[in-house]
Amino acid sequence: MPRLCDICNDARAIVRRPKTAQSICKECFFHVFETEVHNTIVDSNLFKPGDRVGIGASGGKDSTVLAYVMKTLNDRYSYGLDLYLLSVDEGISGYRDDSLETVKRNKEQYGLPLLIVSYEQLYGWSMDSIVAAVGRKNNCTFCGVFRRQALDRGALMLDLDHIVTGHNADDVAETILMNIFRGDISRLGRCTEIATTGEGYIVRSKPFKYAYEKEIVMYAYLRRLDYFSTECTYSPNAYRGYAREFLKKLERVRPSAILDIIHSGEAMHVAKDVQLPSLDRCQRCGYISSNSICKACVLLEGLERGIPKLGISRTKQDVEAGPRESDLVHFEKLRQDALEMRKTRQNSAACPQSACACRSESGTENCS
Amino acid sequence: MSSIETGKHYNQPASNLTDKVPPVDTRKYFDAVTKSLSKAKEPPTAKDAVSSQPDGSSVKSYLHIITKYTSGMELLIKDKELGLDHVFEVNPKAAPLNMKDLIKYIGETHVLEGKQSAFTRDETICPGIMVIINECDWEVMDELDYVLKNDDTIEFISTLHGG
Repeated sequence: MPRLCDICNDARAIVRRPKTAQSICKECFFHVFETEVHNTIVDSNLFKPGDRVGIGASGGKDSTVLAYVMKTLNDRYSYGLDLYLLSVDEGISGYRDDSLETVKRNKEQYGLPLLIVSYEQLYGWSMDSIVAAVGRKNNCTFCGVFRRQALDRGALMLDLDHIVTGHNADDVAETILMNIFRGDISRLGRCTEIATTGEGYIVRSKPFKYAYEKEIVMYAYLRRLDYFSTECTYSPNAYRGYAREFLKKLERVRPSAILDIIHSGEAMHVAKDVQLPSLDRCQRCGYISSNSICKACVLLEGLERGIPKLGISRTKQDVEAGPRESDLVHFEKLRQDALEMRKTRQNSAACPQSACACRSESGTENCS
Repeated sequence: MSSIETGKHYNQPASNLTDKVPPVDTRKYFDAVTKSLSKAKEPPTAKDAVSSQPDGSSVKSYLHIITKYTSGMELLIKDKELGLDHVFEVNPKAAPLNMKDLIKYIGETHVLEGKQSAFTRDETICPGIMVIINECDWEVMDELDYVLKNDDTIEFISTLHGG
């Protein structure tokens, strides 16, 4: 009793879309999935022609599908984007080293230049060495704080305009729930936005904001994409785990629950008279921060002074405010370098890629 | 997902089980079990089922099923297998084997101790695990009521692991 596709009524249906409950065939599934992402991109005005766009690539399913779809759409609809793969190596042996091998294969498969920035190189500490110092209790805090900054640092090294990440509808719905449960008003507002402006002029966006996880996995499966999946060897994020399980159960009973939660999250607004923390620059590394010293610098100081609880426990912090030599490359320096690269690129019209920082990684394959 | 092709069991020829004499070299890969559908007693061992074949009794029929585990599912399976072959002895007079039976059987027999609750719950597969029957989403088929056919390939794909 093979069912026919609800869209073309011709080929055999092989997947049920959670969004619409339609049973559709392979070709129609590829078409609707890609077209929906394209519509998200166009409706939200995510890119301008000539933008340098980094794809945050972990080697996992979401970012692998994102890299494939971004490359396909850029070619099909002539977005005119320069695409790059940008990966963060947290230094977790048995986990990230394996998944980065996948990213390196993706680089070849999709012909995109790749830059890998490592915690070791940026902060002087790999996650393995952090876990050795702090144990397995708060290590995820370090990893999360460091990762966000690492992507921004990598983006400046490549002089990118834009970073896209593989966050999907399930991730966004999960984050909305978590922020509600935690009462985190300012994050609740930000997490529903499809694009946020982060460091300097670099935009961050989630083209898969409305794409269900099931469809992403199905897409990877049907296209036979090469991706990596293992749990991080260090403790999983328990809080998110509960939110995720809850959401998956809801989805089974009512598949539209995920989009409904996103819709609710988007509809919530912070009242005008609520004071949100204003964003400033870290006095040490120049990163955007709501405190005079950013979380990454506090955590690093704790690591170096042998008090890893610094910045984690609620006891009064004794980080000395004021300028102190930071181990991190100052963001001002990174921004200056990026501007220099931009100027050089604009001046050398013959080969627009000649100043690209990834050149050492990619050779001259992008130069005409 | 190139890793699948290198999985241990996939290059084995699907033995022609209706001939009742599987090729000797593939026999060791078979994880055979006699399934009495009236009331499942102690599941017999692989040895029992295989050795019962050559006696040539014409009443017995066998069902060959391949199961695959990817995208993190292999972490739940004993020996982290990417794929398994199963031979079930079926009684033609009893109710046919369906997905519900298969999920119960895999959960009891092949999932690591202590991980069963991550595989099956409330007599079905856990939320977050995609089930693919012969390269087709099981939601398009009859899900738990799908009746297994000889040489069906069932894939379990986790959607929960890192992005």
